[in-house]
Amino acid sequence: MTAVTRTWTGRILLLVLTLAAIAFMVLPTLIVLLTAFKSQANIDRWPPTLLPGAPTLDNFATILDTLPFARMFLNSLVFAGGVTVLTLIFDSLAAYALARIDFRGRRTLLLVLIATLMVPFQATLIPVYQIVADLGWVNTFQGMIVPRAASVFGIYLLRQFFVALPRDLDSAARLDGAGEFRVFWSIVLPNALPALITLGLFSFVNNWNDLLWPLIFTTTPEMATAVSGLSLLTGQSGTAPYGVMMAGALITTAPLVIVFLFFQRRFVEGVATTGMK
Amino acid sequence: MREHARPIRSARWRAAVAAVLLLSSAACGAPSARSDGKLVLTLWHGFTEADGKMYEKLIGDFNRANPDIEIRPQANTWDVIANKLLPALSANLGPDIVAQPTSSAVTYIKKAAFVPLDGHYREHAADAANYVPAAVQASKVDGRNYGVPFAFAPDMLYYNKTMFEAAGLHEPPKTWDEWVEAARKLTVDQNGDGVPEQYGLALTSHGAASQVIWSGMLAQNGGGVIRDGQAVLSGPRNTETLTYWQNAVREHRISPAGMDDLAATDLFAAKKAAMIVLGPWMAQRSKQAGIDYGIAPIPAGPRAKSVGTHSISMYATVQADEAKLAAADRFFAFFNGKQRQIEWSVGSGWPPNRTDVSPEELSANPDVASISRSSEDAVVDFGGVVDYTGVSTDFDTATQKSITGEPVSRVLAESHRKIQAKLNEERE
Amino acid sequence: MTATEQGARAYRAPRRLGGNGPRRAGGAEAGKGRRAASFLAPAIVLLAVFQFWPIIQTLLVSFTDSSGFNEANWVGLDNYLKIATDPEVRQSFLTTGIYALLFTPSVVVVALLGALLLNRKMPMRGLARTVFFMPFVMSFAVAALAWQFLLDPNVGLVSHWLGNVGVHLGDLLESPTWAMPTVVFVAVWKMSGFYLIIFLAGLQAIPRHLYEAAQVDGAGVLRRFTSVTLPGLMNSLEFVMIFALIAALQAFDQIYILTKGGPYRSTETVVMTLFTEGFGNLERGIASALAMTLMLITLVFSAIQYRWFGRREGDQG
Repeated sequence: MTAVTRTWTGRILLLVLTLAAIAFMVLPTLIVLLTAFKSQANIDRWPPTLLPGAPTLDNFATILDTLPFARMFLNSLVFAGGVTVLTLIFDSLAAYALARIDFRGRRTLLLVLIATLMVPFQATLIPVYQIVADLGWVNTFQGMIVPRAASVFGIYLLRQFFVALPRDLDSAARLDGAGEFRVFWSIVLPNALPALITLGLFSFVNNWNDLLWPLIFTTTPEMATAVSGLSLLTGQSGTAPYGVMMAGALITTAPLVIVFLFFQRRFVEGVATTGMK
Repeated sequence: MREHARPIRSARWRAAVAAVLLLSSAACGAPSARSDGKLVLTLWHGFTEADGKMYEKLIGDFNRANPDIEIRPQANTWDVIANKLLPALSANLGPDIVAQPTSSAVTYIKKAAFVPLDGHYREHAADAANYVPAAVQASKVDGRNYGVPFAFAPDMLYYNKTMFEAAGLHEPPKTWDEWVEAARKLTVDQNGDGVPEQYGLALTSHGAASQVIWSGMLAQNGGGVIRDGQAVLSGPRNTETLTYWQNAVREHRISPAGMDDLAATDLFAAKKAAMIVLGPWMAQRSKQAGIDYGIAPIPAGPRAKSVGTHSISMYATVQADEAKLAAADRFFAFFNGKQRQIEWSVGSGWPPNRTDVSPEELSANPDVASISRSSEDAVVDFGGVVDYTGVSTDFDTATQKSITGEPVSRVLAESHRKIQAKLNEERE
Repeated sequence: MTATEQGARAYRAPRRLGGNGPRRAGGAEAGKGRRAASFLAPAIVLLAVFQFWPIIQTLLVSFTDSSGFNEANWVGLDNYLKIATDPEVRQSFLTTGIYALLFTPSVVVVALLGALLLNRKMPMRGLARTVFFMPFVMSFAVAALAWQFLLDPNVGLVSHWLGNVGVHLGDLLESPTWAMPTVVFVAVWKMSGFYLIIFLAGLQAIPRHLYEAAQVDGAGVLRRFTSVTLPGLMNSLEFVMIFALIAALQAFDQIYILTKGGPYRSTETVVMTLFTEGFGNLERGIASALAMTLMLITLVFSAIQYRWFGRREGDQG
């Protein structure tokens, strides 16, 4: 790589490749953004164009007219937010024990946990649904949130990061008489902030975008999430009104982008430089 | 030590609450069907467009006319209904009434998720006598009535009038040969690169709607997929049919090869194809795309006037008790009454389920008036199969491979064998 | 102690203190058990109810002919025999293997390279990170619609542009040869952003002074990568490899939305088959047996990966 970048042609080639890669990454995103402002006639037009000739807000109006979108948005926030907060709490507690307390059988426990991830969730959906139904929780927030409030994925992700933190960090605190929870709370958690943010982002994005889960666990449009509500706009035989779908995608994705933009700075300014003393 | 005392307590508390909840709730059954003295029925359907709005309006009318009953409709896409139905029914939280395509309903019927509706046909015999016979027939399994007609519509030929005029064509084609001939005239490859800029036909080769279309096309030449519980796919008539269309696509390039129904729809909507065969929703789609469209019956095949038909019926689930079944019967009769059927057809674009509605009575919606005229000779795709998804995939494979140019007889033989194996397994 | 050794120790040390470590007095051991239990309890209780118990039920159902409605009968290993003898099911296991083989290395390499690139100081780094992360933020349904828009051979934008210069891609998603690579491509495009973030978090956790020390030792770019970055990333890498593989072996969303398993079942994965059997054909017994078989296979491959990572640790010592 160094040999290539040293020559000018190599540099230009690398630049072109990088730009092409970025263009390819961005193109679908761009399509969503631009199609949201196209009329159906414009979308159907041949040859296709990237830019909307005469931008329109009709697609957004259609969504607001046909769906209780504000309510659905709120539902998404409660559902995805609730799962994320709970999963961060429960997963980090469990991960701490698995990473930093040297108890008997922890390796076995970790292996059992990972093994449960290998059963596809489509297979256990029906038993889980029956439990939620037995609890009388169908069509409630707790029914959507509680089954996902702890995740093996999260436990394992955090465990991997907790394990990597040098042990000398907590020995000093222990000498000062700090208990296990103090070590967890004020030593391990702050130092694992990038991992916590990663898990938080993952959990929030995945649940926000989840289609099947909210659809199956809710029965009324008042409880539907924004993304699952959008599926109602799909027409007969699966034909999608593209403009409306893309407008919906734009509205539902915007909060995620904002969340990401907010947190991505933490990756840069976070613990990396200050954490490892 | 104080810090970690809290998690212990909360953990024990949680465990206890979860255990208590599990035990206590196991005792409760399904929520009571009655609220405010009304009998409440849940109804799931997959109509998410104008048809859905009209359906829910009629349900509202029914609820007003029957103060002791309340039907609560829930619209979801057909995919979602298919995914939700099993978990919901197994927990007794599913619908009492559900709309399903008659072909895929067979699986639910054979697995005892839907119950027979013979009672409806007995008690509303006078009305039922006027239902479109093919729609009633399509809802039957093992000789019993399980479904009541809901939406039943033949495929039609939708064509772009502007393109027809530009090509000097004034009438939609009447026979297969005229059809291919017209399509050839409508196919334009101006720059001569072998890839036409405009196609005569958007011919689908696979997908949910495609199976209906091709079942109809095969029948038009006297063939079929399954007859009397036996696979007949590799028959000589079918080979003839698919070879004919393979030629039209490969030799004359009248259509791109290997599109599913959605790709074909997009092609027609982009004004890159002059004709398409599809169900009644195509009228609305053409309007959206700003196409000056015409609707015509599918050109007659060499041996029969059969036409592929989309068939959806209403079913009652195991969850519905006696009282609910009686209420459901009243609703079915209400919905399929003559006045309501006129209203439904005009508003939804689906032709009426009754034979005693004349085109004149539907004049408020010219599209549906032209559809309803050809509701005879209906061919619903292969009914009576438990592994409907498996057989449809095999059938899709046969049509898609044929249209994309693989040797027709070999392809048909292969799918025939697979379908027969599935049928044999079901009979065991 | 050199920087490398210290870096290696940072990720290795806790393992050595794990279950195989020297046992201490019984009292301390019990105390640790109690403390661990208090941290673990909330998550374990939830997982027991909503994960372990459903899995046990799935295992039990796999020995029955349950449809979800009927009185289920015990059929022993019948469902497993059906799976073993059905050519279409066997094919779906093969297809899943091919998908995993294409997807897992691609996504790891793309994410790792992206993370290394985006971890450097460069102009508009925030924007570049967002660009990589956008596909992950989009739901699969939307991403699929967007790609269809671009790649549709007749009305797609990219197809149109390429057509203008005389290149005809053909119908990628309808070609038995190209459908799988296309699905993998879209999946890598969609998922690499997330794994990239994990690598990024891992890179941030590598103490900077290790790099400084390595530089003092006169290590070049490549050396710094192999002796500081890679050892420091081992935990992230292990995590990403194992989870990318599990995700690949359970591939469903991307396929359900892009191809529905077609053309000609060429992209029909095990979970697709499971879903069709369970929810379409109401064969819960067979669906459950498929899930258990897939779990066993995943277990074997993950164990191999796990051992490999375990061995690597040993090599470093």
